[in-house]
Amino acid sequence: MNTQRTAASRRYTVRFPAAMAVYAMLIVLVIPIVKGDGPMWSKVLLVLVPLIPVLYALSECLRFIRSLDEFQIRLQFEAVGISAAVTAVFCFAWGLLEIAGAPKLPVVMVLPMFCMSYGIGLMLACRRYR
Amino acid sequence: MNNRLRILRAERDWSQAELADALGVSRQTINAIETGKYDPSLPLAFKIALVFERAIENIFQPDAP
Repeated sequence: MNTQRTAASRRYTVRFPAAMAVYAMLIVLVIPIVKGDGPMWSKVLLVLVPLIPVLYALSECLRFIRSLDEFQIRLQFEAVGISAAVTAVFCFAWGLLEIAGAPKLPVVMVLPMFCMSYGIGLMLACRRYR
Repeated sequence: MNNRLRILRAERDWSQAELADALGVSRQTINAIETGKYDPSLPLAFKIALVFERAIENIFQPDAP
């Protein structure tokens, strides 16, 4: 079973960063094209292409989490809980600030914010059980 | 919940990693159970009892009321 987990961990540490690298390359390629001239439908389709590696990365995340043992899944659950709470409260607070005249927060920032706070949440959860 | 995992492991001269391998969990999980920060599920507790050839209540005891 530990061998399976190690294999799953190895697979995740290779495939997740690879998917995110493809995502980054696609963003760099797609954004200038989408900002140029062209029919609206093609821009809509093209701008959604980077979503494919993101969905693949998320599926790898899910596969990795399913390979963990019960305690590690608890750590992940706490990290996701912390991340969801931080992201939701931050977005809500920013929404209130926007009413008071703060600049609009781009919705595209929500996923990176979630990922960052997930990392911090995982560190806090690990520290709690150390 | 209290447990005698560390004592039983020491009696057999097993490392946390060896016990983790025998149970199919991570070393981090063994450490969390030994330090009392995490109570295992019933299936894992049964597995631990099986590995040490003891009854569950011989390894895990409820906190004093």
